[in-house]
Amino acid sequence: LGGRRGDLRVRAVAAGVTGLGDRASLPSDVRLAGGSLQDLALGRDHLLLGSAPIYLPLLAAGYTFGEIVDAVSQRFALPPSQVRDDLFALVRRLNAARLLNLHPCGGPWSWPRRAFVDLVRAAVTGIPPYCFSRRYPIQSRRIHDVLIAVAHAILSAKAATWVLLVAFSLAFGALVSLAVGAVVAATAIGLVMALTIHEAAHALAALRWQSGCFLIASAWGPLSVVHRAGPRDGWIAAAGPATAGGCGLLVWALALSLGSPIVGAFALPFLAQLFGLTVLFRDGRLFARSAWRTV
Amino acid sequence: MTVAKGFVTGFVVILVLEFIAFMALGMAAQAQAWPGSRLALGPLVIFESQRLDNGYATTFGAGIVVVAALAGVLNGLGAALLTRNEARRPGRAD
Repeated sequence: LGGRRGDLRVRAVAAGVTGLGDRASLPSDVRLAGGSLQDLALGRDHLLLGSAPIYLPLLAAGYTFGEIVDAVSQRFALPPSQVRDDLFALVRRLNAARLLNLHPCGGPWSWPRRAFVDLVRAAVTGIPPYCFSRRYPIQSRRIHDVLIAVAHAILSAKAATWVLLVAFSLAFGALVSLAVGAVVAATAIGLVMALTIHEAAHALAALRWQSGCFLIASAWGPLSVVHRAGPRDGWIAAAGPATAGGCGLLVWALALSLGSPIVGAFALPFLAQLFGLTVLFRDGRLFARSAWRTV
Repeated sequence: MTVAKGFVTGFVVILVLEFIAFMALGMAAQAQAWPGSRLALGPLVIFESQRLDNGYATTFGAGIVVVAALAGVLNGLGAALLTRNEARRPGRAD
């Protein structure tokens, strides 16, 4: 009963973050074709059943959830509340399957308000902030393009986290000393760049050994590169921490040659990525389990 | 085989990070002119910094390798235990 009650609370919070003014869209590497959704990155077809073929063309056309509820409830003479619940359940399922992105109303710059509401809701309910993950397609195989796509995803999806980090750095600098604040800020910037290189390395490895991949990110949830399963999964998992850690060693050498504690602080998040190769983290466990078998 | 892979990975990662951490500690000790410090596992010295008349000396002892080897053993055992029970969810890298 406890587990069910917890599920209900999480679902209630999830329902609370979906509004009738919100919209949804198909990621550019997901195509609505006939009676199915084609996932071009993973090479899978998802057959649409039940009411999904009614809703999906409207969702893909960019109508708000409220407009879709009105249109469908009038067309089929159903109570709007029933259509809304049906639509929200479909949206949640498709988002959990990484096939649909949500666009909350208020435009792209409404995230500070949403982040504040998320944090207040989490404090009141005692449940970590629930947020829909967003799928970021990675289609180019060029390093430059992949780095830009990953950096854009990390900066935009986790904007609230970075603003909190910068505010913390500035407060630290103002309260303790400017030098300490500069070191904290360098660590924060290093963290963003280390995460970017980590995920970009996963993506490049996945593009090298698999047909395609995409990045999933959300405001408070984890970042992951999703790709088709294959015998090189261990190498793909190891590519992220190994590349970011290797960059950290280079930056550390630069810090030594310059004698700069700020550059040294910048290198710390990169070096910390090396822990990702140990079994404390999923990348390390995947690497230990499968990587060397495929050499 | 998984244990061996886990051991090698854990050993290398912890050895590299130990070198970097103790190098940073040595530099900080030199910059702040600390009187000297010593970290050891019984008779095995891990790290030692001494203030000399004409400078500063930082020493990495054999203990650094022993600590890395212990970390490697833990990582290897962890690889055997954790990967056995972990649900197979390939196709996703965090």
